Amino acid sequence: MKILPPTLREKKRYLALEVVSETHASRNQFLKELQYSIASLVGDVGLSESGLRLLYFDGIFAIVRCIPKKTWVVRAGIAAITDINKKRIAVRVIGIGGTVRSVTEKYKDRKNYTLP
Amino acid sequence: MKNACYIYELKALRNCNVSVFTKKPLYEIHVKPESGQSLEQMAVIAKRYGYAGMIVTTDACKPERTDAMPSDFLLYHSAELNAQSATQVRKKAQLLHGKTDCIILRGGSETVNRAGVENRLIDILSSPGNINHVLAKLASNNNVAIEFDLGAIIHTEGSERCRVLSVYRNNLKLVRKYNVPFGITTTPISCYDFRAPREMAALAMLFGMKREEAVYAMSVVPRQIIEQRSPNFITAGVKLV
Repeated sequence: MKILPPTLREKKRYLALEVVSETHASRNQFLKELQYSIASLVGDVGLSESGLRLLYFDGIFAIVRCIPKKTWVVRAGIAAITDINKKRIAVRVIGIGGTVRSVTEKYKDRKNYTLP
Repeated sequence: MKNACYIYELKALRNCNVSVFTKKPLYEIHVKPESGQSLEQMAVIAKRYGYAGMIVTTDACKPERTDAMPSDFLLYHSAELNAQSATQVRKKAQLLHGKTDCIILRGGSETVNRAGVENRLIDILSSPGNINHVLAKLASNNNVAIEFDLGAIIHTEGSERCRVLSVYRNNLKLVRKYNVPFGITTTPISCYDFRAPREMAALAMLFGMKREEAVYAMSVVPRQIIEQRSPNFITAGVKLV
């Protein structure tokens, strides 16, 4: 089977997220909360259009994929996250990149986002 | 002072090559630390999120700088007014005038909103509900900023969030029409309630605000308010050096 040629693929943006939380949430909990918050803001249609995908999550750092035109919608959804299981949480976008590699290299090892 | 600079500032923001968010220092205008929340921690978080300063609302005296605070982080003090009637607004504003950097009135009812925008001593009218063209015109003449509380969008859901968004959409329309200064804030009570400037803009875009306007609301408006209330201020464009 042939793979989809690069020209036909959807363009992507990768958002590097910093998570500040009272507890360590699991990957599934975080993804569920993220999807729920975007869906309650822009609806299921908006969520499906954004092409959201959680690629990496380790409790304090996460990488999320979406399509370039919807980055602001995803940002708003991320900003609307307030708690996971009654524990307060704040998520911030540290930066945006075009590849997973660039985002990881640029933002993952940055030491200035340790927990307060 | 009519806000003639509004259009000029927006144009300047739009025409810059770099990101609009890095061009000017940004401020969080309505920080209300809950009991038990240390101000240093909030300052550290705000600084990391990219703010140059914040206006802290406390009942007591001015917040003191400690060593734990980031050195180049600006801290201003404001007083929040809660009033039930127009006379109360006038009296309390008169009492607080000159003692703080900025006076924030918590609006809501028709009479309080009206008294707030008619009073030149009030700087920010917070959570006014639906404003109308009369209030907007008065606010513009008296230079009272209308606050958009994005915390209301973050912390609510469903029908209530829908109502908040429609109120803000209506307010934004009038604010644009009459050149009223406006500010955006999340009213953080703890360090988990801060949002970075770009996220604030993204939330503001939900009710139709442009990115440049969001930056204007976070940088130019707070700057103006603080300058207006500084002891060296004489009149618009004139200050004691």
